[in-house]
Amino acid sequence: MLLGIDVGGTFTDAVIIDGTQVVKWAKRRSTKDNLLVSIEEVLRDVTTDIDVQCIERVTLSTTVVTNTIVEGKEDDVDLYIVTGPGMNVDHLFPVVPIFLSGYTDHRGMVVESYKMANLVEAMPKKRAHKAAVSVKFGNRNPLEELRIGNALAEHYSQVSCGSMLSGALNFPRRTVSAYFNSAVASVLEMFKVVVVGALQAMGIEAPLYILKADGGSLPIKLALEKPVETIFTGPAATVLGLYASHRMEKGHIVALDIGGTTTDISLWVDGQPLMMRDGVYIRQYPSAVRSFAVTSIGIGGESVVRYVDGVIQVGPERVGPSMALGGDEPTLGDALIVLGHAHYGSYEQAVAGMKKLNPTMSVEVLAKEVVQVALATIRKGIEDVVDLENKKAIYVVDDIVQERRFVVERILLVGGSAYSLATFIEEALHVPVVVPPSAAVTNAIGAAVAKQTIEITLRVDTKRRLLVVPELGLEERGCSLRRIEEVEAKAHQLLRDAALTAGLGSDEETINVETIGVEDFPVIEGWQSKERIMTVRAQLQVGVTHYVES
Amino acid sequence: MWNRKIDNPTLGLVFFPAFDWSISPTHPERQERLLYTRDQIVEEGLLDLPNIREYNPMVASWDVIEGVHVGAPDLQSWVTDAHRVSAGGAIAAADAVLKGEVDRAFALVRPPGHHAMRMVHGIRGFCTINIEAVMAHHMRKEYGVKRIAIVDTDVHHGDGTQDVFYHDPDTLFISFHQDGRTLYPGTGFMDEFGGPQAIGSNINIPLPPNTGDEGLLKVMRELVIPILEDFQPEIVINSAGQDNHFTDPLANMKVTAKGYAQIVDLLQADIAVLEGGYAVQDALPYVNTGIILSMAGLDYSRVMEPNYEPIQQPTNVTQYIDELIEKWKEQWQQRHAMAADILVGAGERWKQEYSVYYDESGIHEHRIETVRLYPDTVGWHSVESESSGGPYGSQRVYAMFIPWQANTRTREEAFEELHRIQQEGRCQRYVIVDPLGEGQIVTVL
Repeated sequence: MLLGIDVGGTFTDAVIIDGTQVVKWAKRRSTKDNLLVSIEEVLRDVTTDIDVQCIERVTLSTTVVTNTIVEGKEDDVDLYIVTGPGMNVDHLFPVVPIFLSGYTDHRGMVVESYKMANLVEAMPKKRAHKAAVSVKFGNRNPLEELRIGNALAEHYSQVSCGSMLSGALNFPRRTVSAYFNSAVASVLEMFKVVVVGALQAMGIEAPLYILKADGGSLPIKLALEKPVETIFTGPAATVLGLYASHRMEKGHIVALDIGGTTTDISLWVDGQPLMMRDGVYIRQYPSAVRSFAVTSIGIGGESVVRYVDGVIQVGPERVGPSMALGGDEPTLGDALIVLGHAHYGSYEQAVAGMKKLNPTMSVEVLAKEVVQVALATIRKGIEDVVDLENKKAIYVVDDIVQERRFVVERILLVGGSAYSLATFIEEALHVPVVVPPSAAVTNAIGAAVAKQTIEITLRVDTKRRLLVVPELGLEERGCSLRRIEEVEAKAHQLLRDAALTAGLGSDEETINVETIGVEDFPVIEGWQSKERIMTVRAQLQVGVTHYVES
Repeated sequence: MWNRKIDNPTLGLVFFPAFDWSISPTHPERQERLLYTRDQIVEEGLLDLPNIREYNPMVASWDVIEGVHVGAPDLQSWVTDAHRVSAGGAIAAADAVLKGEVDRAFALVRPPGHHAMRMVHGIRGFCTINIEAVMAHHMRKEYGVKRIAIVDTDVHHGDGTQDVFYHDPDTLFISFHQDGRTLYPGTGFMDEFGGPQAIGSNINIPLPPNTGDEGLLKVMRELVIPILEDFQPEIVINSAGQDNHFTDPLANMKVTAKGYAQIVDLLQADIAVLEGGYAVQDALPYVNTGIILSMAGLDYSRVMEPNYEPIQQPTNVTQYIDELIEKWKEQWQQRHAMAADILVGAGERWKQEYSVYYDESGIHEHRIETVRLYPDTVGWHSVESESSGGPYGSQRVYAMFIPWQANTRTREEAFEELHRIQQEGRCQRYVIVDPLGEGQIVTVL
C-alpha cells in the first residue's frame, strides 16, 4: 500500500492506495501555526482499520516551502558569482552578489581561474550561515564552482552550487536556484522532522519521499540536498492526480482544476503534461527548477462577485464562502446555484446574493451575466497559456515548416465547480468538455503514485576529449565517445547508475530512462578538422506508478 | 520615427539559428554558426529580461519574395525553406515594431541576404534572397512605410541591397565595408552613388584594412548619422553583419564586440537583421550579446571577448579615414547638383551594361539595364539578363521592375514596354514585378 499526504494551505489530505484502488482517504483543515496537529489528525483518520506495516512508501507534497518563499521568510544567503565579461547582473538577484574574478567560456575552458587565496578577503564582514555559488558556463565545466564551493564550505553550514541543480544553460536561473536552495533548506529540514515524528508516532516506518515541482519524487535524504526542487509541489500533485485518473487520451487536452479560489490550467499532449520551458519563477526571479506548466487564474467557485466601475467583476479574490453557505458576499457559486447548475447550501440565500448585487435586475439574467464574465476570464486564461506554448522558440527549419501548434481538442474539468460549469464552458469555447468522476483528494493521490525522477545533462566535446555531467559533478578527460548514439547510451547508463545509487528502483528493469533532448553539432576548426559537440539530456520518466480508480 | 531617444526601450528578438541548414558541412555558412551565440544568449539569461521579448520567425510567402526578386529559371529552383524562414524572421521583427509591440527588434537569423540582387540566377556570397529587401517590401505593402534607410555594417559591401534599391530615391542605402580592392565582392566605391533618378541614395564608404573601433565610430558620427538626419527616414534598418570583428577569418578589420555595441547605440536602428560574421566562436557570441544589450538600452560596458587585448588603430589608417570623411562630406554636399547634371541631355532612357558573378554557383550573368526617366516621378527599370554555367544551363530572362511609387501612367508605360520587348522575342521568360500592384506576372514563351 502507498500513503500519500498533501499538506496544503487550507487542507491537509491523506490517501491510502492499494493497487489501483483508493482504500481510504481523509481531509482536515491545516493547522497553520502547528502543522503537526493536522498531520497527526489526518494520519489517524486515514490509518483507522489499516495495518500500517503494509504501507510500503510514504510520499509528501506540501506548500510549506512555497509559502516560506511567497512570504519572503527564507534564510539569508551569501551569494558568490563568477561572471566574467558579459551582461551587468548587479540587480538581477534577490541579494547583491559577491563578485569573484575568473571566467569559464562556452566550451567549458577556464579562461581565468579564481585565486582561492583571495576568498576570505572577499567574504562579507557579517556572514550569513548559508552560501550559494554560481559560475557562468559552470554547467559546461563545474570545476571552478566545485572548487569555490568546497572552500566556502569551511565557512558556511551549507553551500549550494548552481550547476549541481541544473545542467542547462542560463546562468541567472542557475544562480537563483542555488540561492533559494540554500535559503529554504532549514524550512524543509524542520518540516521533515515534524512529518517523521508524526509518522513514527503512528508506527509507520516506510521510506519517506517528497514530491518535486516536475512531478517526480525523491527520497527525503536527497531532497534535503536539493530543497529548492520541492517548491510548487501542490500543482505538481494535481497534475499527477489527473495523470493517475488515466483520463488523458491522445491529442491536445486542456485540464482545468477549478477550485474555490483559483483555476489551475495545464496542457497535455498525447497523455503527457507539458513542462515549463526553462523553469519556474520564484517570486519575480526566473529559476532553473523544472516544473509542470501549470498556470493559476483567479476564478473559482467562491470567487467574489462585485460591481467595479459599473461592470460586473468575478474574482480574483475569494473573501469567504458563497452566500448559499452562509457567506457575506455573492460568489460565482451563488450564480450557478440560481441557474440550477449547482445544488448545495441554501437556494434562497443564493438568490439573496444576486439581489444584493443588483436589486433592479432579474436574478436569472444577472446570474447568467456573472457566469459569462467568469467564462471570459477562463477563456482568456486558456488562450494565454496556449499562446505561450505556441510561442516556444523554434530553432530548426523543419520545425517551422512542419508546424506543430497546440490546438485545443478537448477540455478536462476537475475540482469542486467542475460539474456546474461544464456545459457553460462547452458552449462558450466550442470544445468538448469531459468531467471525470472527481476525487476530493486528487493531490494526495498524485503524491502517492508519483514516480521517482532525476535528470542529467551529458555533454561531450570530442576535440577536448571531455565528458561533463554537471548534476553529478562529473568531469571525465580522455573521453573517446565520437557518435551521438554512444553518447546517448552513456547518458542512460550514468543515469541508471545514479538512480540505483540513490535507491530509486531496485534493478535496471524498474528504471525507465528517457532522452529529453539531443544536440549534435559538427565543430569545424581551421576549416577542416571535424569534431563534434554532443549534448544529451536524460531523465527517469515522469509519471505515475499506478493508475488509480476513484 | 527614427532617432527617438527611448528610455528603457523594449526589444523584440527573433532568434532563428537554422540548426538544420548549411550550404555544405564545412562551409562558413553551416549548422553551428549561431550555436555559440545561442549558448551565450541563453547563458546570459537575455531572453528572461523583462524588456526583451522573443518572437518566432514565420515562413515568408512567395508573394512577398516575388515583390523583390526574379529567379532564373525561377525562384523555386534556388530558394529553400531555410531562406523563406530567414526572410520570415526579418518580417516577424518588422511586424513586432510596426504593430507597436516593441520599440526595436533584432532578427538574429540565417542564412544571410545582403549579396542577393533583384535577379536570382544562383547563390552569391552565401546569399540567395535579400532578407532586408523582402522585409522593406513587406513594410511598404502592409504598413505604407515610405522612406527607409538601410545601414549595412557588414565588412563586405552589401552589393545585393545596393542593386535592389539603386533606382529608388526613397530608400537610402549606406554601406561601410573593407575596401573592395582588398575584399569580396570587389565593389562598393564612392562613385556608386545611386541611379540617375536616385543620386545620393546609395552611399558606399570603403575603409582600409585594419580599421578599428575608433575609425568606424568616427565614420558613424561624422558621416552616417548626419546623412541619415538629412534623409529623414521613417525607419532605419541595420544590416548587421559582424565580420568587421578582429577575429573574423574572412576579413581584415579590427573592431571589437564593444565597438559594435557602440555603433548600434549611435545608430539607434528600429530593426537590425543579422548578415555575415564567421568567427563563430570568438566573435559572434560577444558581438551579438553586445548588440542585444545595446538595442535593449542596457549596460554593455562589461561585454568583452575573452581573448581581448587593446588594439591601436594604425596612424596611416586613421589619416586615410579622416581624408575619406572629408571627401565624402564634399560629395554629399554636391548631391543635388550631381543629380541635376546626370539628367542633362539624358533623354527618356538611361542604359548600362555589366556582368555579375555568382561565386557559390559558378554562374556568369550579363545584364542590360534600362531606366525610364521622368522629370517629376520615379520610372520603371528593366533588366535583360543572360546567364551561363549553372545547373539549369543558359538562361535568358527579361524583367521589368515597376517602382513601388508608380502611378497609373508609369505603370501603364511599364506594361507597354514589356509587351514591346516581348514582341522582339529574345528571351525565354518575361517577368513583370509590380510590388504594390499586381505582384509578379511571368510569361514563358
